[in-house]
Amino acid sequence: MKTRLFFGITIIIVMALMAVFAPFIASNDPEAMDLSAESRLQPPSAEHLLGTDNLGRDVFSRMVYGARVSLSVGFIAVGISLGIGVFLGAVSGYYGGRVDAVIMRFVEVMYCFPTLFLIMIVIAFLGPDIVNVMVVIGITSWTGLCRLVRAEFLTLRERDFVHAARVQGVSDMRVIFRHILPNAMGPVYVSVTLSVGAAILVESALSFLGLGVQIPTPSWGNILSAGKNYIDYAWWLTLFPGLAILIAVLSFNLVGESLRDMLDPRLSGRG
Amino acid sequence: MGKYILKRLLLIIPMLIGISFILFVVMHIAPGDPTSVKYGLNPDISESARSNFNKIYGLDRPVLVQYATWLRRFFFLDFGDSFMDGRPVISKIMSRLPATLLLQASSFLVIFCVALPIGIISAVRRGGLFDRTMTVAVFIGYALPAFWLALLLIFFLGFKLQLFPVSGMVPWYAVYIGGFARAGDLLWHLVLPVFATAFGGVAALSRYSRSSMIEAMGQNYVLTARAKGLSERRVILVHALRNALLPIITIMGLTLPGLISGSFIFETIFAWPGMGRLGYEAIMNYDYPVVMGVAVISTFLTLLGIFLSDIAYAAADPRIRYETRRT
Amino acid sequence: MDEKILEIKDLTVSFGENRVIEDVSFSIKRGEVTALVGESGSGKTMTALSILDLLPDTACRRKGEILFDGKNIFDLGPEELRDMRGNAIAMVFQEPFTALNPVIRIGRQIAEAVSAHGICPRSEVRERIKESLSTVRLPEETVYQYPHELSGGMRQRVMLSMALSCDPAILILDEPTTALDVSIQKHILDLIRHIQKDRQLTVLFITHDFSVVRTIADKVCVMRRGRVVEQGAKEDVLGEPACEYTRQLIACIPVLGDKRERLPVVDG
Repeated sequence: MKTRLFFGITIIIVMALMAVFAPFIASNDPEAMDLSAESRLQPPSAEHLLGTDNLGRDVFSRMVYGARVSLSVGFIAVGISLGIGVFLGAVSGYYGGRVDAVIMRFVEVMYCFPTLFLIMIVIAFLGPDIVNVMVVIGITSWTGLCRLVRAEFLTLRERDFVHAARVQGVSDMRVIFRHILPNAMGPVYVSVTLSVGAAILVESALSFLGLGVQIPTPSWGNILSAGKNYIDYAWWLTLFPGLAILIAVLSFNLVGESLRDMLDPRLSGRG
Repeated sequence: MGKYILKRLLLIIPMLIGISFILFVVMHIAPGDPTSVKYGLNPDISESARSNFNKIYGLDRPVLVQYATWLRRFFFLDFGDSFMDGRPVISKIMSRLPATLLLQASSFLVIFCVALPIGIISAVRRGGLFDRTMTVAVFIGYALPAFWLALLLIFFLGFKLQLFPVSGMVPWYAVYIGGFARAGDLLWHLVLPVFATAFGGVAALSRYSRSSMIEAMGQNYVLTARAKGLSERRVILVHALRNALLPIITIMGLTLPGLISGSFIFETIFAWPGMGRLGYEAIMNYDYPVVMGVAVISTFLTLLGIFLSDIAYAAADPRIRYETRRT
Repeated sequence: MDEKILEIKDLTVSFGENRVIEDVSFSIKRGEVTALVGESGSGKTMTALSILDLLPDTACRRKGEILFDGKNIFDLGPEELRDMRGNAIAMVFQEPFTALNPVIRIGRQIAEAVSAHGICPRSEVRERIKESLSTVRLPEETVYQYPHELSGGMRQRVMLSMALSCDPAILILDEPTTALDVSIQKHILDLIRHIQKDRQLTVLFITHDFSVVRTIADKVCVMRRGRVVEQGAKEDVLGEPACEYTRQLIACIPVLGDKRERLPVVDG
């Protein structure tokens, strides 16, 4: 279990370093094209570690820069959904009654909607661009967190320390955020870690469909998208970005699952 | 029971209105006038299409009024005409719906038939080789970008080994072959799209049914069943499984939004002539009436599926009471 | 009628390093009620589950012998074991609320026990279920009901009728009344006593309550921390307990008209 956590964290750190120091790691300019026949669609070699794409760009360099997109979309989108989800969930669970009913109805409605289509629509409207992708993924993926926080609040609000705080005249907002929330954060950390992986998947799918990060800016999804037309010949264009997405998501999931087991040993080894 | 069904059924209407409202508002708070955005990006749009758009949405009026107009037409299944070819949206959707339903229903069936046995066997042989292998496989399955998997399938099974067709549903030669051969050919075309679509669901559901099964097997009534002298097979397949199935039924219903979301990707990758691809094309062409129509119809399908799983749940659990259940 | 039908010899059960039962030996005679007494955690239920070979299998090791009709049940194959459970030795559990399967009708749950052992021809199963329900004084219509429609006492009657449906040689009752309301407890106990007398049943009665022992047992076996600390005829054990622990347990029986303020605390 410790090894899983260690493994996940190590990979995440390596990716983060790659993203931050991309200009120093990348061997070429990720957007520099070379349309001559001898530099297009070249298989992996010493010069181009992961080969070149249909426009003669170095795939390795594009992948390194792609890590920037994936990680920043993952973290920022989840940050947004964390803010919305925690706030609405806390308010819903703490106050109950009408407020809770309205918020929960809204969550239910969102839950039944094929979210990806909504994201695609909104992005098509706003214009595909990395900031829009982050924001839209963030504001469409908070429902799970909201339910989670609400459930925690429903039990915590009946605890003595909450009553004690209220009797002392502490304001509602202070009770919610200073007294209850810290006690509800355990499952939230787990969910957030897993959500980063999910957000990376959504971003890559969007970029793959041409609704995410736009070329020439490289992202793992749009490298795949460009590569799919050459799949029967240039396998490296499909294999490497896909592996990168897989490993990134896997490492976030590893960390999330290990955290879950640590928080609730009862469940370890269980589904 | 009849009352329960009716209540759940009536609940679909406000949900559908709620979702279409959110969508409508989202489309309208986006910056800029939709027609001009559309004009700028797609010069092919004719003046008549533009007036058609204005007619349907009444863009000069407040959003709420526009929505009311849309809603009134919606009750007669009138979603307006497509910007692309001027055909009524509803007839475009209807012509694409069978292909989508075929793909979704097959995937749903595959998910159930594959994931459930995996979950049961893992739970019964907990900690064994099969269980450990599956745990790792499922873990990877969770992180696997399904569209990438689809590409790999196309590459290896389609191009390299030439085992399965990689695109479309009914090829040009279908009219020349007999009924059975045509059905076989259709199944053949289904294999890869279903594999890709069902993959994520199999990972999620097998994991869920494993834990649900483990939970059920730890219950006292399973001990009672063993103490009665029932065969292990009966203890597991009747006593534990029937109880473990209850939460699984609910989860099956909740996999539908994911399946429908997937259809927008996979129908595009596999050139499947379904509603998902129609929706994707409509988005890429800023064909708003079609987008709205596809969104509403796919939401309706999702709600219908969740409704059916609710009914199945109520039918399977003798303790069900309407008040005690919230999704 | 003095033969030993079940004999437990030096039974030791351990989960990893933790021994839950240590060198337990006692025997049960045909037609007698043997009470297995002790506090929770003393290993009573584990002993009972060992007799049916139904111990939870996680890292559990056992030593010793359990002889039923002269055969060691630890030597039996899976099929022989299956046929023994419910048929030769039946058990009623403590928790009537969770011991019945919530999604299966009562009738079927009883029928399963009967048909699993081929007790009677298929055509007579129905009749037999009705009969076993009337033994525990439940109406015939109970067969069509689900567990959640019944009260705790009724569910325990169902469990009892299920256990009796195959005419077992030994009936194990694991705290059958503990989870019930006090008023219902008496009804169920009376019913058990009545059936036992009527059929000359051999019963292993697990309880923590010496007042129950007093009304129902022939023989008493006291367990503490996984060991048998005292056993013998009821009169002897209740009259002159040899062991301090037994004395403390007996002292816990509330006596009508007793003026003591508090019940004594047992040093478990």
